[in-house]
Amino acid sequence: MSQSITKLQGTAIVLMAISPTAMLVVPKNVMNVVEQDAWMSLVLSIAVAAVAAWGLGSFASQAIGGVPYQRWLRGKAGRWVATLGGGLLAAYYYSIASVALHEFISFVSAEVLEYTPKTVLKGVVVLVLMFMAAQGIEATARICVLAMLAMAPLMLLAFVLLLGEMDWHQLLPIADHSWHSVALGGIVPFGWFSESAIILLIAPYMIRQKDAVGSAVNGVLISGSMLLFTVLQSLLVFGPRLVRSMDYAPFELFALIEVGNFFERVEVLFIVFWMATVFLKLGLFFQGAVHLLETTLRMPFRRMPLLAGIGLLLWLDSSTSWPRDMNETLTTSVTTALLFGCNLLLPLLLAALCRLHGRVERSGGDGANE
Amino acid sequence: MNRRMSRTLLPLALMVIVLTGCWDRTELNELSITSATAVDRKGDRWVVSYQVLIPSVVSGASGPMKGGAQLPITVYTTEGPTIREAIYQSTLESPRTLFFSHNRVLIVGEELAKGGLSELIDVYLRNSDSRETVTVLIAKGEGRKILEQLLQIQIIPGDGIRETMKTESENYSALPYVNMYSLAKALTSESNSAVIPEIFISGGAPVTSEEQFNSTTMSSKLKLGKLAILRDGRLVGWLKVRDALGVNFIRNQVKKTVISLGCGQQNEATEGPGHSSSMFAVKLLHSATTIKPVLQGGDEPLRMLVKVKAEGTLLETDCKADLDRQDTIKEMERQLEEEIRSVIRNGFGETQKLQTDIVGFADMIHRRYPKRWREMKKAWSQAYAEIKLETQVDFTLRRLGLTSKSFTKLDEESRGGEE
Amino acid sequence: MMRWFGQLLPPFRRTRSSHSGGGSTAGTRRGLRRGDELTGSLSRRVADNLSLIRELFGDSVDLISRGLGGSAGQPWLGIVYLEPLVDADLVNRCVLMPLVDKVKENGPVEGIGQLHDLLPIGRLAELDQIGDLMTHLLSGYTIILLEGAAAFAVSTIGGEKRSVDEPTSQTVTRGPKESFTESLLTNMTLLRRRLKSPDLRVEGFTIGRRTRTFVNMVYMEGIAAPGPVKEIRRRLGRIDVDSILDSGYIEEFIQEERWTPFPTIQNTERPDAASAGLLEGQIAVVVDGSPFVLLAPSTFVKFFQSSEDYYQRYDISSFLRMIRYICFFVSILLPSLYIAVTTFHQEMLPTPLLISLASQREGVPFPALVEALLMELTFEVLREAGVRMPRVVGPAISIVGALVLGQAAVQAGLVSAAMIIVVSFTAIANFVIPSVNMAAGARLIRFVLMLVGGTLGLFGIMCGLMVMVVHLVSLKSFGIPYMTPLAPLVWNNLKDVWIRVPWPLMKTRPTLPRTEAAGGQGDVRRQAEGSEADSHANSASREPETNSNSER
Repeated sequence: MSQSITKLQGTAIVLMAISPTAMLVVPKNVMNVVEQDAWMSLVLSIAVAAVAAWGLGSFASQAIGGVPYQRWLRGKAGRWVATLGGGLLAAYYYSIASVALHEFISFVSAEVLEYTPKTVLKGVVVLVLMFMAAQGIEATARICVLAMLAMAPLMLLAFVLLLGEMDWHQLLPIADHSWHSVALGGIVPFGWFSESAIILLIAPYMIRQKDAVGSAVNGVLISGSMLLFTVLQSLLVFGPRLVRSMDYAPFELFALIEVGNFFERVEVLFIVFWMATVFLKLGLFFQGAVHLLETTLRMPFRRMPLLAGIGLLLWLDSSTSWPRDMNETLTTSVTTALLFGCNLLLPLLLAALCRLHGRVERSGGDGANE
Repeated sequence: MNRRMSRTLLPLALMVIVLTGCWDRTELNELSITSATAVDRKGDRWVVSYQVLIPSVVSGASGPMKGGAQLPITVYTTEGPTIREAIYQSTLESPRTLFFSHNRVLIVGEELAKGGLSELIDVYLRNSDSRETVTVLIAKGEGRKILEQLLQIQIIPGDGIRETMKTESENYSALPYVNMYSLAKALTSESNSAVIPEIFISGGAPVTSEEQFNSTTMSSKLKLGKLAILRDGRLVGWLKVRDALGVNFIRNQVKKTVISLGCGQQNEATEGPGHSSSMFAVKLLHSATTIKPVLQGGDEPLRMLVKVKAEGTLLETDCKADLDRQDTIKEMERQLEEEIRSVIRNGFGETQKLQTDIVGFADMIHRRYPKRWREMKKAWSQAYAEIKLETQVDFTLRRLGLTSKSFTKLDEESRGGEE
Repeated sequence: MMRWFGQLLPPFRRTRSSHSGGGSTAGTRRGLRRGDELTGSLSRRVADNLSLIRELFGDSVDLISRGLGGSAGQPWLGIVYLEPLVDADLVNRCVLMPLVDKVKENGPVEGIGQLHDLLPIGRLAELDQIGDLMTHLLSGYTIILLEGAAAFAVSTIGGEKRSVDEPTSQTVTRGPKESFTESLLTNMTLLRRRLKSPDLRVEGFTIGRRTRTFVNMVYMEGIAAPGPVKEIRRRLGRIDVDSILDSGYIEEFIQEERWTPFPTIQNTERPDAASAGLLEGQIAVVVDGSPFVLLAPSTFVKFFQSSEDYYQRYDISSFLRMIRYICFFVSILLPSLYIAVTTFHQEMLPTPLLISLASQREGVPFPALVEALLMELTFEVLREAGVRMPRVVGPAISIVGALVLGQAAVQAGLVSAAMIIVVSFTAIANFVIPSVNMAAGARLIRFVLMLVGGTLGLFGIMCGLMVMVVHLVSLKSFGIPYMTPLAPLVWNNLKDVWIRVPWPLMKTRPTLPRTEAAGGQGDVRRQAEGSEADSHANSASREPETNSNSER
């Protein structure tokens, strides 16, 4: 694959890797802990996440152009580390894709298409994902940019249309909750922001590797502000108590939009746009998994028979692993732990191992590049 | 390779989609479009009534059907142990599935309100096909009768009720416009209380058939009435329209309203006593209220400072006072301020009698003095009943309309000239 | 003698053709590598050559051959031409007359030198291969056979052709009204007249074994990127087919992606549009026998630009251009959106609309999806019939079709009136798209989206659009991404996409994104610095964003 991803595309990719599912899950989770101070938790977690993104971006910018992440790791840290790391990451990306797919289809089934079997919906989505993977990361990157540009006016529109319903007093009293509640509330969003680790896979295909830092940080900041915006809006319109029971707060918001007597109940339009962004996120993660599998196992997962295989696996896995849709707390805490583990700890570990291995190699013999 | 993949994947995708058939598809003529719903309790059974539209009568568009219904709506009722089961029982009598997305109005029965609204609100929040933007109204007695009433001006009665509610809250502002999610919000706020306007049929039995419908005046009409007060989700009392206006002033929900006053002092000043039967009317165009809670020492009751700033125009006057003079205007403004203050005081007094905080003082105190609030929370109802309200009204009469002297005065002057 | 015998035997052997002899003023035209090539050289005897040619043509009546001078069986001079292909007047005046005069003076024409001085015709070529002779003869050249020398071909191309007329398909209200014709020469005339620059390069190909169609590849040296030029040259050279009867054949041979409803090569009947394309770095392929000139590489946005945009004022042009994009989406999405919203998402409709639609559907026997498909197919049938209809009957049938059929169907209760409106508006929106092949693509996609919309509602439409967008974004036209400048985002080029900025502001040509296939940029300045009229013209023309290694 050629190096053709620009900094703007990199930012858009990070944005799309974080926002779509975060937008859905975060308002409720944060408000459960801190109610009307949710925005403070969010600001805190954005700040921390930006620092983490900077760290991840710097690690990523050491990549060599054109050399896939896993192979570069092999060069820097040795075969075993690379294989293990690659395998773990592949499993991680795959499972996030599976979870996100499941949550996405649950939402669609709950809000939009009630009677269509979820299996069919998942099958259709997996087919589209396979098609996207076949076209390569560049195509996905381009669409991410377009979606990012379209998001701004849409959010603005939603804001303007809901102005009448907002009650600024809902923000008071400020700082009603203790600092450790605020910090606790910030953990879940921070977990989601750590998805910026996808920059590690993207960096080798960027035109300038140094752009990776900028992309990661900008992506986190933009998605952070969007998330903040969403949380603020839910807070201002519904109040903290009500949001705690709403599963899909942002869409309840859009359900309230009424312009005159003819532009009502149009939340399906916003939902459709949001669906497009979820497709992008799923596409990114699926391609991430495929790419890692390809480089770790050295088999052409991007081509037809194996691609169909992994697509089929994703479909079946997503359809059958979730006998019940419920059990929110378990899902959230497990997901957060997973996000922390694979997005932050793993790269940290790998970076440390790279350094270590580099030192060993340098003292031992010639360079480690294969 | 990519091309081959696209070639095999795309047709596959398309085939899958088409082969699957359509589960969620409902044709337009398979829907029962509901425009108004009424929910009530009979003992421990839920009674749900629906006002269903008949499209071919409602719209002017062509349809080759002749005969059949001539009236735009049909009403029927179902019962069940829970609300949703009652709704699904409708499949026993209706050929089409109920479609609630265009439901405009929800009429809550008095019995239900007395028992508690929480289950009803849960249904609305949990289900995706019930909209949270329905207008909520309360009816004394059976809600079903309200649904059966036809409106002459608006062919869809559900729409008509909603428009009535909206117009009233815009132009008269005595009864606030309540929809489901604001109701939910109010009931979960610190004050745990809410209001719902009442709707009733004036004139007796509802007009339900065509003969009664086809005359220039109908024997009965839908009207908005009092304001129902709920505390902890249950109905505790009613407020008259005037008091409701006062409460709305405190809640800062007055948009436009009309106040009529006797000319009183002015006339006495110019003409002497005995001419106080003439009145003048002022339209409030704009009103803003700010409230400041003042916490005092431990045992003293809470004081709330209510400041209303309003402006309006003169609509009608029978007074003989000369409107060109500044002091006449000032006198009118003073009278109005006094009137507004008294309306507010009376309204607030009524709520204090019911010990229900529908004006949102609880939230204000919580926001301003969060620590003190935690202590006050438990005994709030009593504390509320003892609040001292201090009102300050600042009213400006901006315009006098197109004429300056009242016609009565002109009339008199010309008569005086003849004598 | 033996050589001549060998020529008679297998006349159709596949060998490379050789270039025609040197010293000619005409450029060389690349012929076929394989195919029906005649081998062998010509004899030095006029009589032999004459009889050979007559035999190869099977004594066709329209082959005119004459011998001049000498005795009856052994002429000194032979003249051969194909009557339908030559300008008879030119042949008589400029070829026969001087030669007859010369022969009368009693002397064979000695060698080339004298012939050059004798014939007042510009293009003259010397031939010694049979294959070349046939090519020239079949192109309208007159062959002059000399005793003791080989043969010469002089250009006397003539014959009836259509005169330059107004374009039939891509009409404008303001702007030039000339259109390309079937004659390659006329088309080149039209192009050369507009681009009076020596940088306009023309490379010639002969494609098609039986038709031997002349195909010219035209580009502006220094503006067109070298990558696509090389690629098109390669692909044109690679075509091996029996016949090329229209530029459409060439289009299908050289296009990059076969499995896409979106066109990657433009075609135009208008010389001004072709010239504009050439000036933006496109390469024109002019095919003899077809009034449609191909322009490649083409991106998505080019199919929405009409020449009229540049002749009218920028405000109305920008407005109309935005309407075109909207109409594109309408023509793809409207029926599917209608079906999806009325059968899956009825809550989105305002209540009065819902009621009106519901009452229209009372008594209609088909589900919305079937109804929509039926009406769309009927409309396609009507449209196709309108094309085939003889002109006198045409208008009557279209009125009948549209009004009566639609109205009658509604009144019979077979379809709902709203569906008729949706279908007709979709069709009308389709006509707004300036380029016919893009409109054709839109027509096909519409059906696919209708099917997915009818099965899965807006979710299905979204999936379908996602697939379409991914596909669009990964298409390439000769190495250039199809969705430039939208994806990858090139800010500079956006000035001509949604709107058309006024001419004084269009200082640079659209630059190509940074791809290896493009191989560097040509000259990107569209205007010279002195041509700006307004006061804030101090900034020199903007530097292009990407690398500009102008290869000169």
